Amino acid sequence: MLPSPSILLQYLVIGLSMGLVYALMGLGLTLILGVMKLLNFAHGEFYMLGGYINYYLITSFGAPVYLAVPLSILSTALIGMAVERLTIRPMYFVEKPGDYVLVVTFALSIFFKQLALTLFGPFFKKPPDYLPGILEFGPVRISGNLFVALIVSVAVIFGVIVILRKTYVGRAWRAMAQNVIVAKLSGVNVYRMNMYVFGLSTATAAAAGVFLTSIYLLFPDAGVFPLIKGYIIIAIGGMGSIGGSLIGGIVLGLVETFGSAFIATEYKDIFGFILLILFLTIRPRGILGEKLELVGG
Amino acid sequence: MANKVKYVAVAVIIIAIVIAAAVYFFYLPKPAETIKIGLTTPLSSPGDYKSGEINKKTAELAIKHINEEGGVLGKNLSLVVADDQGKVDVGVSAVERLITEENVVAIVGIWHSSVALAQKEKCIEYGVPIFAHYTWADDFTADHSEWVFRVSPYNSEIAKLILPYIVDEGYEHVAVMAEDTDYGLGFANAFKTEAEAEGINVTIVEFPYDATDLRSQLTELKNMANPPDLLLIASVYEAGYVIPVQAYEVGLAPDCDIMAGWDYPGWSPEWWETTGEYGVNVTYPTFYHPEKLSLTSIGQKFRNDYKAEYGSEPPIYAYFLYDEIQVIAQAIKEAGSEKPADWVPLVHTMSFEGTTGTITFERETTEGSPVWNQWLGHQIFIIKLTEQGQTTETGVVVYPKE
Repeated sequence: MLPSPSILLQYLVIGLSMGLVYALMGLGLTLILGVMKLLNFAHGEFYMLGGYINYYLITSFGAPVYLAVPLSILSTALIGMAVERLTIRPMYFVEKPGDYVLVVTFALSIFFKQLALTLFGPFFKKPPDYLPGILEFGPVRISGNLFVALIVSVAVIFGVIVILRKTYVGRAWRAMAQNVIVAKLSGVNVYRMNMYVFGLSTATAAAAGVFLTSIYLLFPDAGVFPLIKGYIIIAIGGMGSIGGSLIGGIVLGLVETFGSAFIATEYKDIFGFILLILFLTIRPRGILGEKLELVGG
Repeated sequence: MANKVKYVAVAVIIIAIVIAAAVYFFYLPKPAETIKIGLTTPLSSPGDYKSGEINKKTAELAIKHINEEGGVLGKNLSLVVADDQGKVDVGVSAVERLITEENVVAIVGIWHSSVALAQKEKCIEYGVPIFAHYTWADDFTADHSEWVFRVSPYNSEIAKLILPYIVDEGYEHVAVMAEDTDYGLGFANAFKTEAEAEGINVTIVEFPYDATDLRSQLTELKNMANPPDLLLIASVYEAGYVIPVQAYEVGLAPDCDIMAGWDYPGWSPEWWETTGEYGVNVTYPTFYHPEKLSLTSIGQKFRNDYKAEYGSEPPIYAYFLYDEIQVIAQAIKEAGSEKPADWVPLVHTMSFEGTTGTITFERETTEGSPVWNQWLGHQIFIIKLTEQGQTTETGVVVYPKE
């Protein structure tokens, strides 16, 4: 029997909200993959770091939310830029830098997780509610925190698109995405641009961490889940495509939600992997990934 | 001449080194020989490392107490810690290393059921006892090994113990949100068997253990023709904290009551921070309550020292782990030998003063019965947290009724 329209609407909203959240998780990975052609296995740890910095700014230093949020995103971006400068840039000068960077980011991931476990302890944490309570829109109910996270997701994705299309840095990144040698010959300082894009990528991860940990909690391994979802999304949406991340996130959110609601709850995560395998088999470049080098959808 | 001086100088240096080494090895005080106990517990992901950390602290305190009272057979006890990461292969390797390289006399601290079930096979193979202080899988003791002991309750025992409360409250349909682990599904199936025998309808909703968004599953429960009136959560990971919040979000709660499958809401420092107002009126089973069950003198000392040392109340499983290490120490003393083959046969014949009562290890010879080297003296309390900030100590005992 077909469920009532109100029930379908509830599932649709859950799926869309999860999709937007997933898109935010995948955004930073897409940027790095598109511009630097690198896989960053430590991306989730910047999500976690941003969440912790925000949490402690609010709870230990009494910072107001409007100050804590930008400070934590900015400081995580600076940490990201420092990490790129100190640990990733030296790899550009060795043979097969991509392979070395994989190992470096894998090691960074373990390092940051252990550091968080030592510094912040193993227990779950949650920043104060950004919008307390539950909002009701007809038959649809959504938590205030998720509502804020959805608005932030849209704003961040839109902001990144604006940066890519309207700024010198964005144009330089797009040039590098198409052909890094030509970009270099055109006077783009690719090393500096790599550092900037890494910083922006970690800033988006931090933004996700700041807002999503109020829903999914904060702990040393909090970044594992966004990393896995992020890679599924970029495979579905198209590598290096921001529009693809958005579509990939929403497709994944809807498939997981409707799959678990109407097929089997225990296989919710498996639906995502089935989707991943299907795309890798039938359309390996993803929905919008016409060329690997494309950035900006 | 010059060469001769050189040879003499080299000879003097060599002799000096030999003498110094001899002094070092024979005259300087050597570290005392110790009896080693192996603790294998999750201390990193994907294991439940927050519980593992408490296990480690508890075991360290137990060892400290025993050593302060003179140790065992004139020797100090020492703890050798291994991180099993909540992974079967890592846990099995850890046990093997502790036994073959560290020569531990017993394994304690085991946590995840799936890991523990594999670890006990290795212990049986090497003839070293393994003790479960909060591993609930019935199968852990069901093959009736001489080397496997359990102080904690087990799944079907807990299901039986909480059922009178479920019946008293008049619940007719219980939905068990069960993580896909040996604990989650083991508990859910044990509960289903017991509850359906009492005429209670049970729906099991299985989910990946690391799931953090369960709104679609909870929405499905809410939209059932006969929605559940009790949501029972069987999870040791973050799902145990997000489910109450998401149950309210989708509108399943407050019409449907919420019960945690174990006692983490009562001691976990993050419960109120993560659930806030949605954690109010959650119930959970536990096996200790300060006003309802008097601790023994050993239990009082443990509780006081744990609080002084770590600044928080010990959860009930810490009491059970503390008990296990005392059991091991007493059995070794009784046998006059630290060799497992000498003291392990005594364990099930002895009785031990534990933190919450006298511990004896029972044996039922029925094939497959989990009651084998199993303590059965657990008393259950169902606690309801009626206000934010409450713990097991300040929550309301709703079962057993006065």
